[in-house]
Amino acid sequence: MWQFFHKLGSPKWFYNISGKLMPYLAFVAITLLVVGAVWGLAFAPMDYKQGNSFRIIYIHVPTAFIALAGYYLMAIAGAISLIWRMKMAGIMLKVSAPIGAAMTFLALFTGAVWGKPTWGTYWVWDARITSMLILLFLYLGIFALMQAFTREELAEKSAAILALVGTVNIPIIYKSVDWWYTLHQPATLKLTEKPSMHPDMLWPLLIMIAGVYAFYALAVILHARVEILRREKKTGWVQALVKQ
Amino acid sequence: MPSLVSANDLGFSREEKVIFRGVDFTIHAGEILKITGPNGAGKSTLLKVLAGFLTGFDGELSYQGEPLEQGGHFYADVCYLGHQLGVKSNLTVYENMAFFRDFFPSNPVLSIDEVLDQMQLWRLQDDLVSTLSAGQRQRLALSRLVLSQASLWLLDEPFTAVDVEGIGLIERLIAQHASRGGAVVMTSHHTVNLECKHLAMPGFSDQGEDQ
Amino acid sequence: MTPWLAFVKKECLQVIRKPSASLLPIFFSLMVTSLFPMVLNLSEQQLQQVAPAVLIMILLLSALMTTEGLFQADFDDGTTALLFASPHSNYLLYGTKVLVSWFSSGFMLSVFAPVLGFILHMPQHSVLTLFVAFALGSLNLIFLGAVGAALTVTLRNTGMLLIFIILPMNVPVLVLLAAILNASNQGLAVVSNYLALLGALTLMTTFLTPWVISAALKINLESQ
Repeated sequence: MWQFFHKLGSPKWFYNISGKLMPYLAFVAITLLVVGAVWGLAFAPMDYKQGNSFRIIYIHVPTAFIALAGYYLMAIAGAISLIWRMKMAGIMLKVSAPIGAAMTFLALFTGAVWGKPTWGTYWVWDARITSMLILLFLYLGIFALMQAFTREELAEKSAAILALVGTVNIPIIYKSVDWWYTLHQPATLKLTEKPSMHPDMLWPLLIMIAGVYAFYALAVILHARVEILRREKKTGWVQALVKQ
Repeated sequence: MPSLVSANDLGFSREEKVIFRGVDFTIHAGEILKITGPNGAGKSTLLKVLAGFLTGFDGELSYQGEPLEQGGHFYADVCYLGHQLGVKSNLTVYENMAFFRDFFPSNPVLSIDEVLDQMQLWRLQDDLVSTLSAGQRQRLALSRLVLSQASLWLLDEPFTAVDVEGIGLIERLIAQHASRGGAVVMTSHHTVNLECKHLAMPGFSDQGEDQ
Repeated sequence: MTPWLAFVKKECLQVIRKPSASLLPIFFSLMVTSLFPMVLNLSEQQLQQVAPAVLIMILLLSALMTTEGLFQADFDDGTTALLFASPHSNYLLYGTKVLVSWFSSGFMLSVFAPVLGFILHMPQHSVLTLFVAFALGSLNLIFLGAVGAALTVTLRNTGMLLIFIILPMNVPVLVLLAAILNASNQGLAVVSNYLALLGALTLMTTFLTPWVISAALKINLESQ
């Protein structure tokens, strides 16, 4: 177990193994996304209230899921790199920040697009949307902090600490934002309460969630591989790889 | 008598880069160790490891015969003086000294007045440090060593920006500390008028092995 | 004198030597607050309604300005390194340092908070609420800001960056302050409950952040 953990920390090992696994992962991700999207967009029944516009949840919900999960994954990577000084964890932390931010932005954007036909406005200041926006700011903060340092190790450690502080803070932020909005607009907007979904609508959603998770993993691995090559460009194995 | 501090194959690396490695030395009470080597040989880093600023060294470091665990240190028994002097420029000389005496483990018999006298800062005691010259600041920083009860002094280039008179003063302080059973590890580009052992950073001197 | 007291004395002396650090936030707040009635051209009633938002933004900005560069001087002159190589708890030292800095800036500003409320026609009964809310709020914001200051201690001109990384973390405090000041405007009794909630949050921040601050300073120190 420890050996495996140790190996996982080696960029060279990660590069080789991820290179082998990537085609399968890409296949899984694409299949899930295509199946989920076609099923969800073309074959799932229309919502009796919202019509066809509800179909954007097939992108909105999965990206919203991964946005929050991605922050915690990033923070865990940060913790590992701080405690065990594992190189790969630092790389993961670095590459997952912009990807997470992109996912959060996508969730916000699709939410706005969904909001216009459904509630007549692109943006409402409700608890869920505001929390999502703050999550985007948290991501951008980590990204900005990392960019500010010239020394990579310091950038990673600082970002890891900030991410960890963020994980403690996120529940408090969510709770406080939620509390604030229920204080002011008691149950005027019931957008967050979902009625139980019809299985024909739910199945494609679950497939899309799995597909977006796989896509996220793929994106992180791809970026990590680029980052590995950039960092290890002076080492023998990368030089050999380039010469091939 | 056990050695005060000894290093066995001591090394330190940062971001995969080896700053130094393979350092061996032993220092007993009353000894002065001068570390030599060109710029970039890791002299300052070695002192910082000894001072406990940097954790996570390789090899073995023992204090009074006991090996140190990673993360453990003998903070109470070292006093470090580096390029950054650790004096507050918006406090007076006296206030700085009072802080040194009260905050760090210090010699209970020595009074601030005596130290002011010894460091020739008596006249300046109520002046703000920001008005002092570089050499005067250095003397103030050295008073932290004099006030402390630490047996190991770590001096990183203590003669920088000090006039001839100042150099004599610092040498006297070091000799005095050694004669009272203290130990000193220092780096310097100057030749020092002191009886001391020499340690060449490995990989950089004629005697050192190549890596 | 115990080492801790010596440290407190040193920090206090430094604050006393630089009274502008305490006075500037107060002047800043007074000036900005009086600008609002000038440019907004609102009735007393309307001013009272925007008052919480204005006051919270002012508190937020002055707290961030206080924390920017809080550890820089110590870091650059080698004091930070000496503190780490001292046998004393850095958790305690940094907690103390931030507390002293809060007392000299945030707390002093809190004393003037009722004046700011008066400028914006907050009701008279909100004097005490304003003071307590400002004191607790600034304590919380300064401890959070200190985390950012410690993380960016080796960087220069960090004002914008500091705001960027710390602002999202400030949201719970801002929300609570808004609830408190609005409720105080309306004369609701629930104000004391909200204040208690803010107190609890502040207590948590005060006890947790010094640990993060010293860890952040340590990694910056070690990479020098």
